[in-house]
Amino acid sequence: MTRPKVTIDGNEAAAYVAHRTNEVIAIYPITPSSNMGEWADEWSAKGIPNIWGSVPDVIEMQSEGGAAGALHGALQAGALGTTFTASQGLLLMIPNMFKIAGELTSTVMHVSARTVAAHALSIFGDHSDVMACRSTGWAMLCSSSVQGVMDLALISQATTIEARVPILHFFDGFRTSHEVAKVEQLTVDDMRAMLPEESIHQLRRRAMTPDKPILRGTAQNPDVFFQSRERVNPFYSNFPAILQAQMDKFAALTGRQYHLFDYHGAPDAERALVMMNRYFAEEYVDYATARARKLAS
Amino acid sequence: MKIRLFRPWSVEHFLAALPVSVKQIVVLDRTKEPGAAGEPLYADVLTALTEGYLAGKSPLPALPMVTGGRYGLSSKEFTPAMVKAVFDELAKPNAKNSFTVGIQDDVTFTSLDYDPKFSTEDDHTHRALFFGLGADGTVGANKNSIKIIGEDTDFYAQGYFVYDSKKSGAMTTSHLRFGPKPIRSSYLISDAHFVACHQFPFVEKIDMISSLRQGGTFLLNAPMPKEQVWDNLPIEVQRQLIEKQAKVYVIDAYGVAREAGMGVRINTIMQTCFFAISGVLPKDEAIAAIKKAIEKTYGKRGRIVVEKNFEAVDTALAHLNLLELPAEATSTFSMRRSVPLAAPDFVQDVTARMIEGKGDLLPVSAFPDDGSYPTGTAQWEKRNISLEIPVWDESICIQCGKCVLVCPHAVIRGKLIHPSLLENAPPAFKTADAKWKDYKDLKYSLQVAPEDCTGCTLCVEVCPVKSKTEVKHKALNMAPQPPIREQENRNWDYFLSLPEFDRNKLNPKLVKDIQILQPLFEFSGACTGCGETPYVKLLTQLFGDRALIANATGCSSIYGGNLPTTPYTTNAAGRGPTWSNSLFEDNAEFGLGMRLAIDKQHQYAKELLERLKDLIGEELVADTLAAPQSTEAEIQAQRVRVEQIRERLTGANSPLARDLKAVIEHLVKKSVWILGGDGWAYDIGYGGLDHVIASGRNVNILVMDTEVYSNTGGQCSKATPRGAVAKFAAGGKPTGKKDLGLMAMDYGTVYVAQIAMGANDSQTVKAFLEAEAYDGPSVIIAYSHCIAHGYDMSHGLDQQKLAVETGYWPMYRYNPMLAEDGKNPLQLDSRDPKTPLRQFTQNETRFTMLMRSNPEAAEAFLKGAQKDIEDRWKLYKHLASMEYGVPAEEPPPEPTPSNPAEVAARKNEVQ
Ligand SMILES: Cc1ncc(C[n+]2csc(CCOP(=O)(O)OP(=O)(O)O)c2C)c(N)n1
Ligand code: SF4
Ligand code: SF4
Ligand code: SF4
Repeated sequence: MTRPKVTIDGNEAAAYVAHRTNEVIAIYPITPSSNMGEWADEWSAKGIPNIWGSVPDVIEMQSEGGAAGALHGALQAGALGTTFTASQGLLLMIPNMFKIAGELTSTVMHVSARTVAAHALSIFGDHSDVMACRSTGWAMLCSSSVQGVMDLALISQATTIEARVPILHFFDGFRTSHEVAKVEQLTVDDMRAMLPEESIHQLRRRAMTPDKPILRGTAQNPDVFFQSRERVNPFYSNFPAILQAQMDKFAALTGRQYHLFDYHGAPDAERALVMMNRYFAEEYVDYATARARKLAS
Repeated sequence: MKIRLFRPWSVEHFLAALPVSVKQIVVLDRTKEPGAAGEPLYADVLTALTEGYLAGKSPLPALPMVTGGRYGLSSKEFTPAMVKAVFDELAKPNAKNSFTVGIQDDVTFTSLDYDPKFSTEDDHTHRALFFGLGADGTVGANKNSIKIIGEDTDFYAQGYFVYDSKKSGAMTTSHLRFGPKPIRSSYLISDAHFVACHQFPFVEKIDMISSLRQGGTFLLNAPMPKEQVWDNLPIEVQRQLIEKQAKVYVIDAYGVAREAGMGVRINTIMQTCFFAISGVLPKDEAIAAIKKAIEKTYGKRGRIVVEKNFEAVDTALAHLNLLELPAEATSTFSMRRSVPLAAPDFVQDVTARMIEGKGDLLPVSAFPDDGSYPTGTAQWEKRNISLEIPVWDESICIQCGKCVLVCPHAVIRGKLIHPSLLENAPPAFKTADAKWKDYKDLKYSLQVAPEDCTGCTLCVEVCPVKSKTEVKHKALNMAPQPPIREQENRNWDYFLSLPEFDRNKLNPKLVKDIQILQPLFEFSGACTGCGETPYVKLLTQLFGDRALIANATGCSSIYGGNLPTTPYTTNAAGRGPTWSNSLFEDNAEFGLGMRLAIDKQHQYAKELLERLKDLIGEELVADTLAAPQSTEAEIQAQRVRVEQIRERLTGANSPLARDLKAVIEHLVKKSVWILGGDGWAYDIGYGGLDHVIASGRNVNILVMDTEVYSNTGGQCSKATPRGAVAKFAAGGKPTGKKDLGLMAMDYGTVYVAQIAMGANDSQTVKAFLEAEAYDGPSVIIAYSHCIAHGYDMSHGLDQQKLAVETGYWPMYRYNPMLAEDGKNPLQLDSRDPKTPLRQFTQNETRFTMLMRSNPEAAEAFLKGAQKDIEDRWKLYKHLASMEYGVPAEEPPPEPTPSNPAEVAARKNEVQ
């Protein structure tokens, strides 16, 4: 199957998948993630539908706190929802992130990781914002190239629906979010293949509705909170295998194989470097490996 | 090892502090990070050890084994028995890592077993447990006792108080320790020398004796002669008392209190008994100390109160009796089931355990994985918290429905009944001929749920009918509950078994008819006589079967969603409000999100209908798409159509058909309600609320304005009026109340109503109906009396009336639809204020407090507040009298063309 090649940046790659695979998109501007919201807004304004043929509802909120609240509400009521943010914006979402994860809600949020202001504000990239969310219970997936952003955006979407753990999909602010690169564009068929309807219907069945009412967001006392809190454990222990299965499924579709941890380098290496992103590091490793071989031969 | 310095984490100092002999380390974190490799402290310890070891800087000869676990989440008990379990685990060959302790995890098996009987407590430390009610002063008296022991003896003393989170009829447990050695046991008492039960009904509900140690003392407040007490104890209690060879003391504390003229204040009496029995102080010294404490506590209230308390103390001991225990248990009855057998499984298995105070024993598997709970469980918890309930005099009742409307707990209800259904009615079941023009042949019944009534008396207060022959006799009168409990229970069950009257035959604009609509919010744990809950109940009567409720954190999220039980419930068709609380600060947005999801799925369902026209049938599709849904009957008709579509879809197996089935219910109109208090709406959530009403989306916002942050104890908000004393505004609030309604009206596109049920119930009803019907954002600001205002809640409705008559709380409705017809959208529903504000404020402690402590400031505030009222009324009058014309038909402005180059350029902009 041939897929169109497009030359776009990381934000557009994320927004592309997010817009095609969601129904409600709550947005708020913050560099370097704003463009994702802008794209989504523009596409919906132009009437571009998602893969189910319906145009996503994009709404700008009054803050990221509000965007997270609206997202939470939309998810509770059974919609597929997403948002985009970074840095201070992500910090404002944290209270809702705990709840969304605690309620085992399927959603993906796309974050172009940016410095959190300390002695000074900085709009540029690092992972201080994402790292501040470690305790929220969201799964975190990192992509490191424009193609990777598009691919992992879809893999995340498929995984969260099956695993019921929400996913924070992040990539480097500016370096990845604003890097323009030629990538293979995923098609509607790819997305449909990764998002089987039954899993979506299951998600709808968990929605709050007065036709079959439930009550969520209770207040609990010391007698039961701890036990209830441990109830989510299996979803976390199952997560890695579900993610890998989705990555494998994706590989079968597109030929691009991802792993939970992608090792790159000599199989007999004695020194290893571990990091989130690996673009230039890989370049160096290839260079060093080749040199080492040359020296050895 | 205790961590004092957590950050910055000093590897060097940490390693240096460990004894070099250490071979195993277990790290306990009091937090959970789902998905992390380990909790934070564990990770840091591991880092320190490995780092030190790798760098050769660790004083330990080898890398110790390290494990981590979680304990004490949400104040779960952590005891020496659990510490023992943690150490015992280390001794095992494959010691668990990432374990939990304090719970039973039968899902992922993380928990460590521990022996709950294991104790390391010092035997010289005396342990005492007291079971009381929030309202009976037990906690206050125990705080006093701890002070007395701490200050008047050489003993060390410790007190800890546990409250359940019901706002009415809440149980309190006081845990007191004292003894010659410093007390390190900071956990609840399980092996008590002394257990006191301050409320007799607890003996058949709560297992108290299992906390009593062998040979311990049990003090019981029993409202009966001492000879009768033993036979009135359930068999389980008798058995345990005999087995433990307990010393059982009884006193009729209510009797003593009555004789001393102290009404129902039993706290000092029980306190005196405690001192007398425990012998912690010589009797005379103890009594002197108690009296000193009484002077301190009640001195402000005058000499008489103090003297009465003194008398109670002096007479208490004469009424304290030691009970001779027989050799065998002889009781003919058992402890009460906390829920009836008819309750659903989840309620039997989980809710009941929590009600019994045994929630700690529930294993992980008992709980839903995502926090979703069944609704409709409050009906199973029969709390019996009132000694008096209203009794109906059907002979004079005019069937107005006012009592039903104001009941904060949905306890009193009206029903229209076909006479043929009454054949099997219990003998005491009362009815009267229905006073409805169209339903003269039917019978009417007004029934009370006897065990759910809180005795707030609001129903009696509001009842307009007084007997012409009997003084003080109304169509509703309070009467003692115990003698009629069983009879009324039978009546209530029968009442519930009768079918609900057809909603379509009722006029929802009439309070009289609304009483017939089933409430889908019942028996909440709100305060007795709460002013918020009647509005919530009304909303569920009108729209509950299609309502999604987003609830801001606050009183309404606690009485609405605090486990064990859930007051929102369903009708016979299984429909009812679905409810969630997100946060305090995001509720408007949370509700908007629900609206977006519903609208989106509605939209999708419509699109699918169009695409499946051929399969479903063109006519049905067209009808469904065009169906009006503004009345009950129209909504009912749409439900029927949806069922028809469902039928036509059976067998259809295309992806589109399957998708339609998944969203089809969204073709029926849903009603989104956003509920919260003034703290949320005026303060922390205002930015969101403002954004949501500006969005134009169809959401309904109900602000229950208690003019303070009620749930956290009554702190000042921007809704607090000038001069009111609130927490955080101890000297009176110096500024006026924010006018939220006016701010919302400013948009011109928001339906706004300010209401007070106690002042005008039909205006309240109109506002709810109009708000819901308005296809855009609506805000209802509802005056809600509250215990934080400081007066007897049974006068709540009178105070509402005064609030309106004085102009303190003007009522109005602003309906943008009127402007479309060229009319002024603002209608004032209250009259020109004639009554001086003072008449309202003088009845509420929040205002009078200042009158006493700082009369000058209070007077100045009152003057200012009176002027606020006049100014605001003038402004409203002006706004309401403005001329509106029909807007000329103008073509909409051309949209600014979007320039692709500009859009592209913007993409690269950096802000
Ligand atoms: C962010 C945050 N801050 C503070 C609180 C604590 N809190 C819970 S409820 C509440 C007060 C609610 O007051 P209001 O909105 O007036 O509702 P009411 O209780 O009066 O019905 C507060 C301060 C919280 N839950 N979240
Ligand atoms: S006393 Fe209060 S709770 Fe009881 S029925 Fe009347 S209004 Fe309802
Ligand atoms: S308020 Fe009084 S008159 Fe009206 S229905 Fe109730 S009991 Fe009857
Ligand atoms: S609003 Fe007031 S009266 Fe009602 S539950 Fe809260 S504190 Fe009690």
